[in-house]
Amino acid sequence: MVSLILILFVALMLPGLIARTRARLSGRKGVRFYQHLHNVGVLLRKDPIYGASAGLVTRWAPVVYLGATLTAALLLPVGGFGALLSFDGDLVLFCYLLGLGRLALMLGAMDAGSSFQGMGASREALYGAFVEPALFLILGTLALVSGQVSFNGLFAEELGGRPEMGVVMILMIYAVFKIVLVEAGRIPVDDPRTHLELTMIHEVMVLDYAGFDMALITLGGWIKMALLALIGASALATTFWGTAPVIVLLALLFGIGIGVLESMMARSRLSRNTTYIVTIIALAFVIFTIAFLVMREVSIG
Amino acid sequence: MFTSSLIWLPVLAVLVFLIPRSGKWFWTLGIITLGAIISGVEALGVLTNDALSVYRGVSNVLFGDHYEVVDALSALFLLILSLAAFSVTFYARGYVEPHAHQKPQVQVSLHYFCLMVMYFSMVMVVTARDGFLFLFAWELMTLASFLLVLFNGDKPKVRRAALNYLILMHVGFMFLLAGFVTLAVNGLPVSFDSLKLYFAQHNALPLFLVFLIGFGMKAGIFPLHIWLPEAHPAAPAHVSALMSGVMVKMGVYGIMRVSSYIQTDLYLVGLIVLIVGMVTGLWGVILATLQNDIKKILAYSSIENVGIILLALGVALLGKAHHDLFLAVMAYSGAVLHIVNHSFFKSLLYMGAGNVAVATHSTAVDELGGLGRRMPLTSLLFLLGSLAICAFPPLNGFISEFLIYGSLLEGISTNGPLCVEALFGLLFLAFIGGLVVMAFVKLYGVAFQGQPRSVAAQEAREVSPWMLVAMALPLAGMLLVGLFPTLFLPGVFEASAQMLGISGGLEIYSVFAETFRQLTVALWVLCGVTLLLWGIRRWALRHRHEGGSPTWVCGFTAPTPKLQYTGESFSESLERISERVMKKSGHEVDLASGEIFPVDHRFEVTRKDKIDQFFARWWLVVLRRINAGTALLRTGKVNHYVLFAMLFLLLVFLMSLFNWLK
Repeated sequence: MVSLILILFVALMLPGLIARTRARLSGRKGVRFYQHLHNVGVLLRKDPIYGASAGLVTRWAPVVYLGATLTAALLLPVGGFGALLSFDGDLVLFCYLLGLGRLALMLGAMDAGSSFQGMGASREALYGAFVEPALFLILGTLALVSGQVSFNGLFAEELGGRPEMGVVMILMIYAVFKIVLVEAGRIPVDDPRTHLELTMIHEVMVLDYAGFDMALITLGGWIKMALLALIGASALATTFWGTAPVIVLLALLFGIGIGVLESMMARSRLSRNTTYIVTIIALAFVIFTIAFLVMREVSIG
Repeated sequence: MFTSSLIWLPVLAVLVFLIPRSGKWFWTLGIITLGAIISGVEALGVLTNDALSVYRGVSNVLFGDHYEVVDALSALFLLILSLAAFSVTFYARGYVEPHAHQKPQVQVSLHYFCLMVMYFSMVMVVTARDGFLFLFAWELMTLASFLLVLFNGDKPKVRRAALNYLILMHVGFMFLLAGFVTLAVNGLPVSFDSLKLYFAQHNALPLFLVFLIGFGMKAGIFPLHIWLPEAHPAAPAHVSALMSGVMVKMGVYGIMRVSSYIQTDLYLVGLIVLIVGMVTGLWGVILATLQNDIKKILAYSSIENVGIILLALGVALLGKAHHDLFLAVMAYSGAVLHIVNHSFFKSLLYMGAGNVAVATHSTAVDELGGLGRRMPLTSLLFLLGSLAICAFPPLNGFISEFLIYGSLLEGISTNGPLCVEALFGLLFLAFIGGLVVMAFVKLYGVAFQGQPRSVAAQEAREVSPWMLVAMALPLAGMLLVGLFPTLFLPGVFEASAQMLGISGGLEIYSVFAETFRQLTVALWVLCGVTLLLWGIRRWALRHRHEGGSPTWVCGFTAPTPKLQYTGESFSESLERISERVMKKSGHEVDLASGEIFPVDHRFEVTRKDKIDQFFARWWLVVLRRINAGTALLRTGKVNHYVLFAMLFLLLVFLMSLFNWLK
C-alpha cells in the first residue's frame, strides 16, 4: 500500500516539477507548483463533450487507460515497500498493461473519425511498437542482473553486488529517461504545448476529449510517467542504497531533468522520431551486452 | 467408437447430396456435432485419465496395418478442432444460405460435404501415427479445403488463389512423402514412431528440414507463406475461419510431432525453429500492418501467430537440448496454449470479417467505417477478438504470451546457456507484439469506428443472429482461458511435458501454480479497477449534461467522412521503413489537365512481399521453357503417340535390362 501511495505522490509531483524547472530556467516567474492539480480539479468538475461519431469506445477509453495504469502501479515496489501484487513474470503483465492503456487511447482517438486523431494514433502505434522492445530489453537486463523475474525480486537486493554494475545502471537510467520522454510525450519526441495539430502525437490523440474524461487521461499519463521514472530510479538506487526516500528523490529528479531538457532542446522533426526511438533499442541492447559480459566476468583487453 | 466414427460418419456425410436443399445445413450440422461429441469425449477421456488411447487396425480396407494414437497433444487438437468446426458450421448457415439459391444445388451440397470431409480428415491428421494413413488424411484435407476455397469460383481471382494453394500444398506434400519414404528406405516401418529409431541412428537435421518444409508449407512459415494471404481472402469467411483457425495449425502439429522424436542435434533443430519463428512472426506482422483489406490483415496475422508459436517451440527445444526442463515445459506450454487461443480468436475474427462482408459486400477497410454504430454486436465481438490477438490482459492471448515471455525471461535471468537466444526471442516477440497493436488499431479503427466512408457502410445492418451466436462460442473460450487460466494450464503443461518426453508435467505445473494463481488475481484486479472507475465515472457524471459538438478539424466547417484518416495513411510511416522488401502494385491516378474540380477516381493499392515474386519468376520461366520444349512432341497425330508409347515401353524394358546386368 505504501508503494502505491509513493507512486501516486511521485505522479502528482512530477508535472509540477517539470513546469517549475522550465519556468525558472527561462527566467519566468511561472505558475504555482500545484497549478496542474488545480487544472485537473477543474476538469473533473466540467461536463464532458463528445463529437458526432463518438461512441462507447470514446467513453470507455479513458477509464481503461487509467484502470490499466493503476493496475500496473500495483505491481511496482518502491524501495523496501513491496508491491501489492507480485509474482514471477509480473514484468510482462506490467508492459502489457501499459500497452493496454496505449491501445485504449488509440482506439479512443480513432473513434473521433478525424484525420488529426488518426494521425496521432498512427504515430503512437508506431512509436509504441518501437518502445516496447526497448522496455522489455531494460527489464530483461534487470532480470539478468538480479536473477529474478518479478519486480519485488528485481529491486530486492543489491543488483549483482558488483561495482561495475553501477556503470550499467547509469546507462540504464539514461535509457529509461529516454523511454519516459517518448511515453510521456515530451520534447524532443513530442511537445505537449505545441499549437499545431499536425505536429502533435499524444495531444492530438486526446484532442476531442474534455472535462471528466480528459482528467482521467491526464492522471493516467502522470502515473505512467511516474512508473517508468521509478523503474529507472530503483535500478540505479539498488546498486548503492535502495531505500524508498532515495528512490523517490531520484524519480523526482527525472522531473527536473525533463524540465532542463525541455528548456534546452527543441522538438525534433517527426521523421527523426523513429530513429530516436530505435536508438533507445540499440542503447538497451548495448546495456544488456555490458551487463551480460560483466555477469560472465569476461574481461576485455 | 471413436475410430469407427471416422468411417461411418463420412459415409453418412455423402447423403448430403441426396437431401433436399432446406435440410442440407441441418444434416451437416448434425454430422459435425456428432463427430465433435465423439472426438470431444475421446479427447477429454485422454486428458483426464492421463493415458494414451491406441487403436490398431484402423482403415485396414485402405492400406493394411494401420494405427492411430490419441495422446494429450492430439486430444488438445481434437478439442479445438471440434469446437472450431462446430461454430464454423453453425456460422455457415448465415453465410451460405443467402447464396444457396443462386448456386446450383450440387455446388451447395459439395460445399457442405467438403466441410464435413475437411473436419474428419483433420481429426485423422491429428490422430494417425501411421505414415500412409497420415498422408492420406493430409491430402484429403488439402483437397477438401481446395474445394471449399472454390465456393465463389466464378471469380477469376478466387480460382487463381485456389490453384496457387493447390500447387503449393502438393509441393509440400512431396516433401512429406519424401520424409516418410526415407524411413521406408532405411527399412523402418512408415510411421511417426519409427522416426525415433531413425533419429537415434542418423543425423537428425536433414530429415527434420525435409519435414519442416513439408509441414511449414501448410503452416505458412516465412518463405513458404505466399499461398496464405491469397487463399484466405478468396475463401468464404467460415472456410477462412476453419483454415486459419485450425488447418494452418496442422502444419505446426506436424512440426511438433516430428521434433518430439529428436534426441540428438536438438540444439541446432531448436535454433532453426526459433529463427524461423522470429522471422515468420516479424515478416507476417509487418505485412499485416500494411494491408488494407480486413481478410488480408487477418491472413498475414495468421502467419505472424504461427511465427510466435514456432518461436516458443524453438525455445522449448533449446531448453530440452540444455536439459532446462522448466524453461522447456513453460515455452512448450506457451506454444500449445497459443495454438488453442489462436484457434479461438482467429475464427472469431474471420467470422466477424464475414459479417462485414455480408453486411457491406466489401472488406476493404477504406470503404468501411462507422460500423460500430450500425453493427454493434459484431463490432463488440470483433473488438474483443482484436484485444485478444494483441495479447492484452485479461483475454486469452495474454496467457499464452505470458508463458512464452516467462520462459524467455527465465532463460535470461538464470544467465544460463540460453541467455543470448532468449534475448533475441524477447526482442522479436516484443517487437511483434507492438506491431500487432498497430495492425489491429488500424483494422478496427478504420473499419469500425469513425464515420462511414461509403454508401454500403452507411446502410450496413446487423447480420442474422445465427452468425452472431456462432461467434459466441469462440468468445466463450477466449474469456474462459483469459479469466480462469488455472483451469486449463495443468492439462496444457501435462501435454507439453509428454511431448518433450518428460514425465511429471503436473509436478512442474505445481511449481508455477502459485504464480498463475497470482496472475489470475492480477487479471481480476484489472477488471475490478476498470469497472470501479467506470462506476465512479457514471456516478460523477450522473447529474451532468453531456454536451455534443462536431469533431475539431481546425475550424473547417464542412467536414466529410473523406477527411478521416484512412487505413493507407495509418500505416504510411511503417511503409516508409519497410518499402524495400515490399512490392506495391496499383495504378497511380493522374488528374486530367483540364480537371479543375476532381471527378471520381478509383484506385486500389495492394502490397505484397517480394518473396512470391522471387518464387514465381524463375519457376515460371523454367516451366515455360519446359512447356515450349514439350510442345514439339504434341503433334496431335495418333500414330506419333503410339510411337511414343512404344518408345516408353522400350525404355522401361531397357532399364530393367540394366538392372539385371547390375
